[in-house]
Amino acid sequence: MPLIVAGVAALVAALYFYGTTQIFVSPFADPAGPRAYPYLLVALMLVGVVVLSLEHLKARRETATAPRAESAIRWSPLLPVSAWTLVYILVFEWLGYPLATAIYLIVLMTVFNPGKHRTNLAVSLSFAVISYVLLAVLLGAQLPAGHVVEALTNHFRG
Amino acid sequence: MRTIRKAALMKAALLGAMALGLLVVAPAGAAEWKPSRNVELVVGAGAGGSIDAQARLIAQAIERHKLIDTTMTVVNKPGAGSSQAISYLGGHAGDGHYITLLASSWIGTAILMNKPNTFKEVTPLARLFDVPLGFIVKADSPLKTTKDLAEALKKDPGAYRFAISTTAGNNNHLAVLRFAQLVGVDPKKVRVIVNDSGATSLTQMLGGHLEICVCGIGDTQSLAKAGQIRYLGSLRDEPIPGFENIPTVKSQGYDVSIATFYTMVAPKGVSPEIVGYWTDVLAKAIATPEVKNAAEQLGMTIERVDAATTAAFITNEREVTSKRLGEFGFVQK
Amino acid sequence: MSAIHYILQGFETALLPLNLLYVFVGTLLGTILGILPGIGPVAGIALLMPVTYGMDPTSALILLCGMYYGAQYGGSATAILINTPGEASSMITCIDGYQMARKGRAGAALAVSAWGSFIAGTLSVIGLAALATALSKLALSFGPAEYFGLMIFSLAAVSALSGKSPGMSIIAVVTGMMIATIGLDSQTGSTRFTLGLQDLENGLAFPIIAIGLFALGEVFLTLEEKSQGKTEIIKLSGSTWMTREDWRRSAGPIVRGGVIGFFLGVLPGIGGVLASIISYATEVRLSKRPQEFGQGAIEGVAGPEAANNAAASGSFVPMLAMGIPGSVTTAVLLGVLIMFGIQPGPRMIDDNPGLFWGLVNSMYVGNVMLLILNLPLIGLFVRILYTPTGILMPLVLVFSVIGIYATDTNVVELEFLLAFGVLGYIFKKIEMPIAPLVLGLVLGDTLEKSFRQALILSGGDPSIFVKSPICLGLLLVSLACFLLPVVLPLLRSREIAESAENA
Repeated sequence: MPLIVAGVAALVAALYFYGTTQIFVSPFADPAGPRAYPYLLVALMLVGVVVLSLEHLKARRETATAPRAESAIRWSPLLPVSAWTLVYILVFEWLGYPLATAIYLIVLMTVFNPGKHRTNLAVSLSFAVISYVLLAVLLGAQLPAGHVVEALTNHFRG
Repeated sequence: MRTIRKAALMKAALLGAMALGLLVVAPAGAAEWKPSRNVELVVGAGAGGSIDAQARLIAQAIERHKLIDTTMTVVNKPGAGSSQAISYLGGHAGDGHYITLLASSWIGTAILMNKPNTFKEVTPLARLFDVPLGFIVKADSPLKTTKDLAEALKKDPGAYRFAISTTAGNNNHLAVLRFAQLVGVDPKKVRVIVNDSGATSLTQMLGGHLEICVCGIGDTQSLAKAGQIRYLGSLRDEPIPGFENIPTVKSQGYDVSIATFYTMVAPKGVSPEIVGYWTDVLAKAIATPEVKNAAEQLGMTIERVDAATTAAFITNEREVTSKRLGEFGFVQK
Repeated sequence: MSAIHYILQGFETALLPLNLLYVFVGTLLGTILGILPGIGPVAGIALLMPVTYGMDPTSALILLCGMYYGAQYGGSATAILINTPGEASSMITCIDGYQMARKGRAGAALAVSAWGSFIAGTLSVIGLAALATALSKLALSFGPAEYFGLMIFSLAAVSALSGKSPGMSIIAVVTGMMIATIGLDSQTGSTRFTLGLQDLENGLAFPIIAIGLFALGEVFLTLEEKSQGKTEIIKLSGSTWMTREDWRRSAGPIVRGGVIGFFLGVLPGIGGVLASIISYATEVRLSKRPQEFGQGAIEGVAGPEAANNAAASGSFVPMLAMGIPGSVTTAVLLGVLIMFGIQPGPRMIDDNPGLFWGLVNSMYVGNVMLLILNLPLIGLFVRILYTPTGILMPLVLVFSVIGIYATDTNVVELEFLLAFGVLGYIFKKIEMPIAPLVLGLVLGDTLEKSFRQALILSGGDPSIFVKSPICLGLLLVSLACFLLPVVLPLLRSREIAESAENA
């Protein structure tokens, strides 16, 4: 595992290095310039990679037994939840906070708090509405009402 | 139970249809325009900064004095020197319900970042506040006039060190470089550092780490009154009303002046009626006592300039700034 | 002589029923806002400003100060309960505070946070009143070179946190620093690593990274555990309050944290985050059981909490004594003062002693009110932990989204928030140490900027770092910090070898 981390870190260093070469240096730049520090960081990152690799090799030499089972990265529920959250974020402004949040919460709760449908529904709806009222209306925080709700409220406000 | 629910549902559906229908039929705007729903006053900066404070003041004044019939909310779209706010406007072309207060850096940023289309995205409404800036030194500095500074720099361009804020390549920065040019010194040899805020520059100067700040004159009054700092000159064409004792740098022989101003703009494509409406409302808003008072306290001067003059002013600023930024090689390819 | 008179008068003002009401409202509102990740005192003050226009200046300040302190505490509460730093400076509290909560000691964590903040806050208000002028001179003596020295020192101080894997720590710090370089370069305006996105031109806002890594990362982890069937029912062990043992262990960290936080807070631009990190590192170094840190050591909560509250008070020093704000929050407060026609500065203490002392005393009263308000709330807060995971975790997700969206209304930021959430989960799995990463993030900017500014000011001459006594001193201490762990074992093994030879 540490070798994978070292590998990724080295890759990051390489990408970052490339990014640094793309930085525009104006003729008015200071003696150090905008590229100096990033180059330094690349060097330091590589130092870290080397140290980590050495550590790992030393540990492997010292312990003849198999390395302890580290917790593996599991892709579920990470990916489905992330994907659903991404959907939430993308429709957030269009659908409006109260509606989007309610739907988002209901689905998540149904998956992770199974069987308690009434509780889930109650909590989701009340949280969405109450937080919206508290924050957007009372405290003036900027939460989108969404085009649907806006249309309705404008009609009733006339 | 079932039948009552069904009736309620029917009612809701009908109301919904009515609402949507009304949207379609809504009047498209007669000769005079007025906002028909909530107006967003977009601020190109984060909550709590001075621009945000001014925006909220204006919104407050408008609401308190009922200058418009609908509500007004302040929306922050900070980032990228007002570019985020302008991008946001881009999604509401022609809609008079969105006006934006921009800091003057928006012009410089658009040029620096090679985004010339920015200028087409907005319709200028009014130029509202001016923040007069000046060259500030510590009270015990051997420099007494701008000429002293010029002489010293001619002998050694690195003799006196400058601090500006808030971004590299902005008007403050250009002023220092232009000044160096006028004095006859290679601007590249002048030592200028860039800080996040004027406050940091002042602290560094008072601590003796550098000698000259380019900062606002209004918000440094207390330090001046306490005898800690002095103004070498103000960077304006005319002396500042209320601060006539500070000579302009221009009057001392070096034609450098910066405008740090706040502009109110609307999205592109808004009708002349919309422009007329807002310039009217804004003129009334900045005449209210709260706004006048606050501006005074913050050392800003109020300008009541109409849309056409503002547009011309912006075009001029754009030309001058383009030229300078190009000269000094700041523009990123 | 007359100072005592004013102090008493100040208390009279601060204790007026109306002002007490304002303190209460302020701290309550502040706590609520602090709980929301990403929304902090700045937003709260900005929102309350219109309300304060009709008020008496001292009352308005009392209200706003209450809010400032309240927000600090609210941020700590969420850090402990749901690993969500409500305030940037609560990040370090997450590390041990959340672990304490998982072990059933949430009550003690919240209590030590409240008490630590109170004690340190009180001490620093006294420090503020007594040392304002002297301290502002200290603040002034820190220019770019000195800040550079301080940043190097911070790196050295935190190297104690490298734990089992120095290699990982180095990678963590550098990662943090790399992330910090995203955006416009401060001295030249060049875009760096913005991937062509306008949204990245100002860099990645701190809360996005902090909340993504801490809160969302933890949510993903917890949801994974739940889906694995590893549901942990957190039983409250021991009392909800602090035991004598807790007090014994926390006393030192609180005092040390308070001192560290106060002096660091006085320096403009240095805030609660750095103060809390340094305090944490100090406690790790001084502890006889350093391996407990990261698993729920109460010192890891007491010290940083004291530090960040003291830093908040310390940041008032430059504002009041010189009229120069040292942090975003004090800048906003300064704006409010100016709106009221009061110009803080060297003359304020002389010209307007009534206001100065009224303000100082209201800060003290604010601290007390915070304690009174929040200790009872601990019982309430702790109940949150009883919420079923399947309900709490989605709510935390929404919370985080609200917090980030409400400040900048930018959906792209939400996407980055999510990305950092995934990263946070991955980092936890590969055991990437979080504290060094956070440090790299916080320090990175200032480290580079102060170095370059110092070089500009000296015209490219690097001796500026050595010519400044403060900078030189800090650099030498840092060198010692870095070398000691390497040199000491060498010396010891040589001693052992020598004594073996002589025997």
